[in-house]
Amino acid sequence: MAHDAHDPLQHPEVRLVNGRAYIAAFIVATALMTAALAVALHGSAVPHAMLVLSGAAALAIAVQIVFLLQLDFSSTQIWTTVSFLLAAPLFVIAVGLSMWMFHSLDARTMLMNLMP
Amino acid sequence: MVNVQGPWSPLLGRLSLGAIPDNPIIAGAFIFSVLLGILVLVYLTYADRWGYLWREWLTTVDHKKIGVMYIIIGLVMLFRGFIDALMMRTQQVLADGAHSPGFLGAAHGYLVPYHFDQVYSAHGTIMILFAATPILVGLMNVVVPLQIGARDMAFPYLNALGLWLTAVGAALVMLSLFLGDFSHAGWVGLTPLTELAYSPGVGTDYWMWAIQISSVGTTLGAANLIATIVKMRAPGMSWGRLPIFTWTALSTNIIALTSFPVLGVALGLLGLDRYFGTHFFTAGLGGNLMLYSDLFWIWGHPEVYFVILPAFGMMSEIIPTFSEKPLFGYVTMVAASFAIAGVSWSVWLHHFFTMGASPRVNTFFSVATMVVGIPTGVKVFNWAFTVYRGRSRFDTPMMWAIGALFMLLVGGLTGMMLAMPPVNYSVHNSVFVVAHFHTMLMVVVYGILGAVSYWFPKVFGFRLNEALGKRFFWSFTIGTIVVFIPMYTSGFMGMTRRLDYLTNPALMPFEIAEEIGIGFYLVSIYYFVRQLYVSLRDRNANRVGADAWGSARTLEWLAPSPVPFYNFAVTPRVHARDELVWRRGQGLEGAAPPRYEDIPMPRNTSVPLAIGALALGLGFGLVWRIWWLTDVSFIAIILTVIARSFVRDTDYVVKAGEVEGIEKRLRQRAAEAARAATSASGIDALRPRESNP
Repeated sequence: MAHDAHDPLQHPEVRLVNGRAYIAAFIVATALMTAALAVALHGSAVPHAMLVLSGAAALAIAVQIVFLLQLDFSSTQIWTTVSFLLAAPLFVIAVGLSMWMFHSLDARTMLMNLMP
Repeated sequence: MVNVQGPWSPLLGRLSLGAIPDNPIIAGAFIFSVLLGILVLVYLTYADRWGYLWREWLTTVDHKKIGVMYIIIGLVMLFRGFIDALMMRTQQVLADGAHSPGFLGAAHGYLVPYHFDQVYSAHGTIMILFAATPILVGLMNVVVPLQIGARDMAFPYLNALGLWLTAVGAALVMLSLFLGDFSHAGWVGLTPLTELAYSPGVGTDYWMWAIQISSVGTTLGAANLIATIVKMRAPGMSWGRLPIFTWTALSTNIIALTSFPVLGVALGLLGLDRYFGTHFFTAGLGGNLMLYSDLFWIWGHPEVYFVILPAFGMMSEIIPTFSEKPLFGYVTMVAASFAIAGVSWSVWLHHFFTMGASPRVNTFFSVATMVVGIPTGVKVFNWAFTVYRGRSRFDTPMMWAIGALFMLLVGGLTGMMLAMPPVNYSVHNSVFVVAHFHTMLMVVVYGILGAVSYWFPKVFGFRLNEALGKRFFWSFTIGTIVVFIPMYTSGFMGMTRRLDYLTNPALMPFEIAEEIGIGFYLVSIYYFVRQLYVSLRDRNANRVGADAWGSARTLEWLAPSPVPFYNFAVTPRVHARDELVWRRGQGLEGAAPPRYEDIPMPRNTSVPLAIGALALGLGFGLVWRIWWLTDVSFIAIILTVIARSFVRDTDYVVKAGEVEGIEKRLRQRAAEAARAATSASGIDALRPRESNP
């Protein structure tokens, strides 16, 4: 590179690259998803299947945040981290309001119960 | 993998000669497109422009050129969408009452229901996703880096990739006209009509993959614009000094980045249903067709604000410039933009109030929808107070901006009516709703047309013809009034939307009026094309300096017109919210920098174009189920991306001396243009002039 100030490899965001963390994230996420699939397939055999699935999902998200995205409060990552946190209310709104709507819809239309 | 009806071969998938539609209208469109294509190819060869096209446009990573190409794609698709509208209006005016005549094999009118359904589905899909969205993204691409004093976007290569993915989506929609058919399930994709059992053809697949691929481009573009605004602002460009258009670009791209993935998921699940036989949205077998409506509108409503917020930003730039006064209520304008963006996430259910949710749920979404009126009202008053006691000039951009304000008033108030579930129950799926959202989208169209004439001189260095611009504006506005007032009325009279045949002859007068209105739109297109032609022909007489309007306020007007590829010779230091006004006050307008510096610039690359071509292969293969093509394209895309990541020689340096030379030439030309303008008209060169076309 003729001009180091503009070398993309010198950007602090790029310096975060960490092969070992990526592989760890991949392995853990794959393991969690396989376990979740197994629980979903044999739901009746596992006590509190819904809780176990939710726990696995939460753990997978946490692993990806820490190892893959490497979100923290350093000056490099603060924008990304805050953006991520600000997206959380959207998630709650979209999923929460949808669940509320479907709950009332289910009781009022009984559509899903009538279908084979 | 699901077995599909009809023949299939490993080499061509579902594609066969039978896929070419046998219809005189489509044949006419095909001949028109082929002739136009041949004309362009002959011109490029005859004028020896292939190299220029390749170097300067197809492989460029310059944000301004990418923006212009986005806008060109959008304008072409806008024309196509308009032709669809013309066809729908003509069908409805012909097919009215039991005794109405039938042509071309239709019982009434000239379009059979199956074709009519495709026409309105294509109209909606094109106008929102392939006309409005690309033009807005294009304008943001051109203007935002200039407004914040950046050299280019944060990721120029990604920017080009976004463009070509959008182009692929548009190309797939256009291809569907001549090869196979398009979706007949509306632009929203009405479930379970989009399921394979009810739409076994390729139409829905075209619709689905066109949107899916182009929305990847839009999402990448959104990430790029956000990164640009956050990280690439010139020194002194604090958040409190950011121009309003850039603020709206930021809010709109936050919406895009958070909502487009939902669309991707909804279409992805539909794809699983259609290709792998899953049951996400089927009626029965564990599927839930209401879930599709829910997911689609979780994206769909934020998308509405994605298109309207930049239009608000454009109005906020144009109105102060032509009122020669600072924008009233800068802080409230920014707050209102973000309030609209925030509320956009909690109103989506008003698109299906009649689905059967409880009164409590409907009330919540009704109130949330009405809340949108508050920040929007703040904006309307801010614009009104900006004009109040201003030194108003009614140049073409200002006309469009004021027109947008009126559209917003009508669209907004009818929106408030529709926000009430009882009203919504009686007019749901009527053309009243259609007229309402068209009035709202007219805000976007007026904003866009104003912005195009406003920033045109910045990009090309000469102004568009004023007199023809005004004729364009007035014929367009008359068309809007004559089409949509009868549409509101017939909606109240109970006319439902998407009708290929009207049973009620009392609606006939409204249909005739709408047909006349669409004729005015046709006239307006003539004036627009003529405006472009005349302006291009007389460009030397209409050259402008850095500040094309004499009263511009923001940073982009500091750069020379047309803007050189590096934007600013020296990164400007920003001192005030209206930087150009501040510099004018200090007598610094047009001052040359004391010394020039080397400028590092990104190098052109053909990789985004190649990935686009491969994505077209992928999309086409998926539509026609040509598996070898999808496999080859997909693997090639991944390999291309990996190969590109090893390319280290991605930028170059423009030497300070070269920059100085370019700048000197530009300054000299601007001075000559100003002198020529003064001597030709004998009036103040900075004032916009009327010229006789």
